[in-house]
Amino acid sequence: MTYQKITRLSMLLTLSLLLSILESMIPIFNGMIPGIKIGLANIILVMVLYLYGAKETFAIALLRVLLMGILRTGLFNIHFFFSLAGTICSVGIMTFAKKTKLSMIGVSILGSIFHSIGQIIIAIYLLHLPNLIYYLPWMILGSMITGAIIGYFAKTVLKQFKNTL
Amino acid sequence: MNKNDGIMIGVILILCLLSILIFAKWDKKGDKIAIVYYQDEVILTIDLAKNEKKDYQVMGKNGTVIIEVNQDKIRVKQENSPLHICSKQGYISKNTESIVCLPNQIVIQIQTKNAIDTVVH
Repeated sequence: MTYQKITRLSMLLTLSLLLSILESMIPIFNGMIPGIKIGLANIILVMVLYLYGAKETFAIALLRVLLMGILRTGLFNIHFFFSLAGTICSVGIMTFAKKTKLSMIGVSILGSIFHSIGQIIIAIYLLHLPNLIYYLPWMILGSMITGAIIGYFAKTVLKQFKNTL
Repeated sequence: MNKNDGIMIGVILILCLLSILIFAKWDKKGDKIAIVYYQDEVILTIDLAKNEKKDYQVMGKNGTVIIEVNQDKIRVKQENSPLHICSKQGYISKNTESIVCLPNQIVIQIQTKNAIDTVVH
């Protein structure tokens, strides 16, 4: 791993943390519709996936969850496992989806949808509440919208990013 | 955005709408009760068939949670949490719905009375 790569990846990790914190401070992005938030930090994950690859994306994603836990929500509590499950599902499917003929926006939408699926699964398991499965279709509909927005952002930013770096 | 994205979005949209329609049919008719859990333990059972209008108070992790029953609907009226997700959610009345208040570790679930009888037998 070159110094340049380490520096860029750490910068991207910091950016994703900043976006997470920023998002939690802006009410429009957060909790306007119960259970749905835009997930600005995923812009970075999509970008890293296209700039580097699956391994780096997993590293950034897991570190982000860990650092967000330390900085804001607390480690190994229910919120931590929610975001961990969501992130793992999301990055997993995006790695796979990138190999298909989907565009960046399609990949981001799938990532967003699987983020919801992962969270619902862990919620059913941790809260012993099988009824939550009934909310899944609504959450997927919401995810498709947020995923498309995130994908569009990532695409636009990545274009600028490649020009400048 | 290309053609493949369009096809994927279309397929997922259809699946979502179909499952929403199917789930809507799964709401069982009959008298309902609401069960309130705090950290996995039942702390309150409310009969929704009585059609009353009443407030209940339970203790959540962040303090008092006020639960309002209005006819056959139930909602969280007031609670102490950063995002107020569960009080924003509003009324629920179907047995496919539930209210989860993570910061307070309070869960409200609706069940049909017959369903509980079957479980008991």
